[in-house]
Amino acid sequence: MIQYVIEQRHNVATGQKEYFPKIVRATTLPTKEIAELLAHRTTLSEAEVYSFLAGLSDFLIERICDSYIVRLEGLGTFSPAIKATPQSTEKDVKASTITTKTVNFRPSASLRQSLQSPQLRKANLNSAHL
Amino acid sequence: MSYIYRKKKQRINRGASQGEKFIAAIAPQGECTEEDLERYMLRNSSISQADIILLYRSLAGLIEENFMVGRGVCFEGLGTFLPNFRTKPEPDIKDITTKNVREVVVNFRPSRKFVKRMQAEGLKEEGKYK
Repeated sequence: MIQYVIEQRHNVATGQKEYFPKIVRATTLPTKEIAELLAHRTTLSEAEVYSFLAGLSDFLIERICDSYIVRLEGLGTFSPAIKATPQSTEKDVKASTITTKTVNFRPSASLRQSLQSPQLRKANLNSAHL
Repeated sequence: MSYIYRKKKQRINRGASQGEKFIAAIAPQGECTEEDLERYMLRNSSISQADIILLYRSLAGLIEENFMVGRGVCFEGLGTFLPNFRTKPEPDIKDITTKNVREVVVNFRPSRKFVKRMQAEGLKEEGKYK
């Protein structure tokens, strides 16, 4: 079950106050715990699972930094991206006009589908606890 | 390894410099899938192919389960996947219900190590704009 709180914000376009539900996130699952949980679900040791997770990270970082798109079924698609300043002429476009190198992530259809019907509950918290 | 870009013609409709401009855009070099991940893991670890497939499937399931309870998942060195809401705001707090949560989305925040690695990568130009 996903919990939410109601938050207020100022809408710049209309100049009005508005309210919206905001997710209350439980503590993030760390890599060590992922390794423990996966080791319980398989016959592999925690160390083997940990090496798999490290390999997965290395694989993604290497391929993205090589300008490859990585599409992993059940998880999503990682694609390299850049932010650059537009130039008036073609010859002015140089590597120096690129301001940021980043990565975009788009969840897979199956992951998006599974998140379509979540159980939601209003949390008994005020924003001071967040 | 490097980020590969190409020059692209782009129409800018907003801001101070409107009109037809030229900009650097990422030039993806291809696509990798979980089969490439499998081959990579077989080359770089002692885990068997069957175990790699099993681990990968279990991992996708584990991520999904955690998102369903509003919990993010952190991969050391790679980054953190966080569930979030896409919402419909209301001017009156009383009107906020679970129906104001349009969908649960997944955000990806690359780790500092990954960001540093991306920034350290070189840039190469590929061909002309299309």
